[in-house]
Amino acid sequence: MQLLRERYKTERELVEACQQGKRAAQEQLYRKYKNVLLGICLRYAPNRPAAEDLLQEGMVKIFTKMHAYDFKGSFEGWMKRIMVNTALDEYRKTNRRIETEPIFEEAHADQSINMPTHVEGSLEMLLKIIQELPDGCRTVFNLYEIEGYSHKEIAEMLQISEGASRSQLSYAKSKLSERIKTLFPTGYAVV
Amino acid sequence: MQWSDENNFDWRAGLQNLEAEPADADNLWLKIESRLDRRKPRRTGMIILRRYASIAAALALLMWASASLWLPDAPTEIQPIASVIAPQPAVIEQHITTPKNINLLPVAIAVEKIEKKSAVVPTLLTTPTSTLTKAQPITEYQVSKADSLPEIHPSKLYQAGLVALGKGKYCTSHYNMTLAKMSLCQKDHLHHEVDQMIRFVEDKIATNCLCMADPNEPGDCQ
Repeated sequence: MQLLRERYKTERELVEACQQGKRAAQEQLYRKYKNVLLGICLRYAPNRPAAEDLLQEGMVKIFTKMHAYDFKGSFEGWMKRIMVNTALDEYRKTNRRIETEPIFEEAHADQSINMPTHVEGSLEMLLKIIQELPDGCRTVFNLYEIEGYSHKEIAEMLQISEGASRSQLSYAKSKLSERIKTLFPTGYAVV
Repeated sequence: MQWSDENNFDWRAGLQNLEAEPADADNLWLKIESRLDRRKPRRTGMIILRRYASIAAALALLMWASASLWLPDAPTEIQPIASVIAPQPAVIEQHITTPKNINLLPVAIAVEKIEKKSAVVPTLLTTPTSTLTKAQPITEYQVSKADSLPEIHPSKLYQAGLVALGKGKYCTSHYNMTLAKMSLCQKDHLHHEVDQMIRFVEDKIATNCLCMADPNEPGDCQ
């Protein structure tokens, strides 16, 4: 299966074949993008098995919604959005009571965190720390810091107040700072 | 608050471009494929079969119910009436999804007609298993104004009608089957049935050959 020959040479051909429900095309698409999409899932999920479950769910959504893609804009971007939305759906499902109240005063977390430089495996370690965050602030952190959404947009997406979004972000940063201090005692600086 | 610093590596870009190989990519694909297979549109034959399975079941039920009406010692005059009661397949198909569309007004009128003809039937309408005495011949006939009547569910009427048709040899399953039938009947069709039933009951009562006795006490029947 690993040696599956790439039957569809261009992305358009591949997408069109997927839209027609051709299984070989779907498999080719999965194999082409699985690593990138799993990267997104790993940021939103609390651990790797949960991330792989998310990837499975997201891929099914991608294939079933494929007909909605109209070749306007990047296809990879379209898939990534579906994957993020899948993660948010999962978050809503598993967190019936979304933190609606600010849980952390932003002023208390107003500290800059410099990430360690040239530390072997630092990105993996950072990912692990992010995964250890509570679901709410991990989600807000991802949406704000990585996806670039505003607090207003995040508030709408998660149906929380803007204040709660800010607070969750501050809490996430504070927690990250604490963990980084512990893990990289010489490679970080808090300004 | 700045999270990235010139002296530090671009963690944001690192996370944005994070890639990872699934632990068992082949197995994961098999799972996705399996889920896609389940979502795949079924064959047309299967779709039709599933869509009309409930209609077929309803038809089978009605056929069984109709067969149940042919009681061994039932008078032969019953047969035409019973055949009228059984709804036509076209009617069933039309109303199987909208059973609440029945207009109860003609039913109410018909029940009123029966009520005026016989003092026995109204009792039966509310307490179908109660002990009943012989019906009296009809002496008065009056149709009341429809707007003065309460809405009566068609099943009530049919319970009464079935007792008459079966000469007291009704059973619970008859009621249930009839109830199912009534929910499938069309307004006009129902009206016709009701008229037929009234005529039947009227004839039987007038000729004094209809027994409205308790089915558990067959000795009361003539």
